[in-house]
Amino acid sequence: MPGEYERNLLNMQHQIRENNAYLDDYLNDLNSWTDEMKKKEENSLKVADATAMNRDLPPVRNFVAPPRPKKKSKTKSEEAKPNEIKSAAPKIRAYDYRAWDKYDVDTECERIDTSGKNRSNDDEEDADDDDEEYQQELLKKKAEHYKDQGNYQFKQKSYGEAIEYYTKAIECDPTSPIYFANRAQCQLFEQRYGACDADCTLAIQLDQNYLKAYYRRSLARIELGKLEQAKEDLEYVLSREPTNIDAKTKLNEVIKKDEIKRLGRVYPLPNKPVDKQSTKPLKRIDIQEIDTSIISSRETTKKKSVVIEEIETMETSTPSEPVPQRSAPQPSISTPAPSTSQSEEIPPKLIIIPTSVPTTGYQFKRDWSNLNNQLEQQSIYFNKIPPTSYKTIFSTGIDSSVFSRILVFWSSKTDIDEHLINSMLELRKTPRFNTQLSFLGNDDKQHLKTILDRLQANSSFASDKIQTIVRDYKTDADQI
Amino acid sequence: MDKPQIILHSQKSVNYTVFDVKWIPTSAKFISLGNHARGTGALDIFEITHGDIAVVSQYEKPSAFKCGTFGASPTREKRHLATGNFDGYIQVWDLEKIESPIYSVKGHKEIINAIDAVGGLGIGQGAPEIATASRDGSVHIWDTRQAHAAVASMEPAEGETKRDCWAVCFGNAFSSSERVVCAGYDNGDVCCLEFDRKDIEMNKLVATTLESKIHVFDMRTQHQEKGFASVVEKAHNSTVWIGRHLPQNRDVFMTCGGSGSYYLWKYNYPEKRTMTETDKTEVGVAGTLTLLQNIGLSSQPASAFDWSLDKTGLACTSAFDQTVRVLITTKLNSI
Repeated sequence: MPGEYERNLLNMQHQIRENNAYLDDYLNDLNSWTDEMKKKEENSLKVADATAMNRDLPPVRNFVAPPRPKKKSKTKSEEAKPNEIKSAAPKIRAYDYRAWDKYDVDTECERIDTSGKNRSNDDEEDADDDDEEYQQELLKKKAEHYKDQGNYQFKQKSYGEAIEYYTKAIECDPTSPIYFANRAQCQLFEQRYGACDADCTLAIQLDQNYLKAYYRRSLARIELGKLEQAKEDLEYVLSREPTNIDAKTKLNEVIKKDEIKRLGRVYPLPNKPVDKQSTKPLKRIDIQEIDTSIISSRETTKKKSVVIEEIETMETSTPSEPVPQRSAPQPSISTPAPSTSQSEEIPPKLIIIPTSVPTTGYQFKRDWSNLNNQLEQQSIYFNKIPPTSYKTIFSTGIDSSVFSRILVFWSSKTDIDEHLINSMLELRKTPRFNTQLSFLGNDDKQHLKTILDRLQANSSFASDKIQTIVRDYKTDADQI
Repeated sequence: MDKPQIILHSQKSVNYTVFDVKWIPTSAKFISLGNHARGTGALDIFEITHGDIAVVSQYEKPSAFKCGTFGASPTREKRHLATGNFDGYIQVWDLEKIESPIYSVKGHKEIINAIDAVGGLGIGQGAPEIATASRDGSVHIWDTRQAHAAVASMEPAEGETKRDCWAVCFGNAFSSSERVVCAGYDNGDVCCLEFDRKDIEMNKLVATTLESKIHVFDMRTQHQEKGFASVVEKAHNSTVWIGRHLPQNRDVFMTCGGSGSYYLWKYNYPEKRTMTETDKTEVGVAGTLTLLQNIGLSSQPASAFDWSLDKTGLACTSAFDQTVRVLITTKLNSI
């Protein structure tokens, strides 16, 4: 039918025109593309070198032993043989009938026999020392290969694998400090600080000048807490390489840490708001033991706090001057020596002598300690106690310090009175009195002697009482 | 009529036998490798200019070239051409300094039939490596950083007959350590092998053989006994020498035959690529091939074919009639 035929024809024409148009487009595109590519190429050639070499490529896949260097004298003979053998007998293919026709079995056998002998001779000639040298070379190359593998793993941050490779390298060649140092670095990342320390030490043994190893060892030692040793290492590094910034910063860190360790953390008081706090650095001041007598009983429950605060004004008196220990009772002593603290003022307090007479040992002990070695107060207090209650108060025995204090009182009394004699009499009735007597110090014995001499000299009292006293208070000192 | 058209853009005659042509990455140039009558090697650089091929430079090297690849070039800007020649030498040339190779090793005892490289040009991961296949029956893998010996080699065992290795290709190079090398030997009549993409997990493999056969294997599923599923097509009425996938579309490939014909194919995936057998094992299912277009360009076999990476549809090819041709394939975007 003409209609359809025409339609098909038209279709085809249309298609062809379309294709041609398409083709023209393509060609134009192609032309512009080629021009573009030319320009690109020119540009890229200029930029080429910069980025090319920065790729981190994995190391060569397998380790292949380098060819064995043959000694010259032997090469010729060795080379000659294989060639001979080769040229003599290229393998004859199974389907090559003509060659097989020409094949002579006998000559072949002869040739094989002779060549076999020669080859065995050659093998014997191969010196063993050649072998050893070669083996050494081989191992070194192998070790390097493993090191490369390890380095690649390190870059990929697989530290465990890297350590394995480095270990293999060390097995092949234990004389190179580099493998140990590299392994140490991996172990730092794996937080195996002990192993790192050991590896660095090995590296240093192999090469004393290997500064990297010292530095890494110091890092490990810091983590292990060996601050002194870390300092040593860092100082060594800095002595050899004064411009090493890492070592400097680490050293400062170590010094700081060390101080903190020794002195404890120190902060200023948070009393003032931040903006009003002084920015002056904290200064360390030695702690002063001040006379505890100025602190009353109420104060003793307060904990002694080490307060180190900034020095605002004066730094007059030297810290080394101790406050006089047994100052005369000054109930109104206010602040201690100005060098210690200006923050906390100890308010003036009266030392109160307990008015109630103690009836139990506990009360006595408590009051006694509250009197804090003030002789006057203690003697007053003691004299209040009726001698008859000594036994109950000292039911567990007299404390040696109390006893010596009592002796002091008695020796300071220049006159003898009833009270004294009675107290002496009663005191000897306390348990373990004799042991206390024998444990008297020399000073105490002196006191005792003076007392006894005075007693004996004084004849106004009942002599039998005095006699008992003298007898019972006898110590070895009398015999000295 | 909306099929892709293969159109001859331009052609040029040369005075040597051309064995391989390859586009130079990031440019409108391509190189040809061949063999002069006097036995020396020819390396020419051509450029497409408006409607024509222009000779940029010509070099002559002592030994005839059989094959070459840019695949191991470290970057797209630094072009390193790896070549294999008739004497079994593998050489790497820097195109900016062609006077002497930057890497040269006598890798094989006999002619290197095929070469492939992976890891370069910024494609894929891992170190650039070159694979060579030779008539001495062995396949060697080379890394330009190791000068004296191959990184890996696949050789027939002692005592086994050595078959000529005619084809080699890389695949499965999706990680820095993973690679697969496929080699085709003469006892299988394999003329050419190519994975559809080198830098992904292996997907499809095209094998072209004598007796006009084209095999496409589905490499995703490997059955223990049945191996890979495949589809076979007969075309060209002659040996199919080359099969090359379009870089921009991995389901489209061109085959070149001994009759000087070029066939453009498309692979269609089946509905399901795997099937579970009665014994619960997985087996692959092959798809189908459709012929998109064909063209006959010369009377002599085509020796080489290469798609351009930079321009879809642009291809260069060579044939044993001592000509190099540039082809354009249209409408590839609409496939």
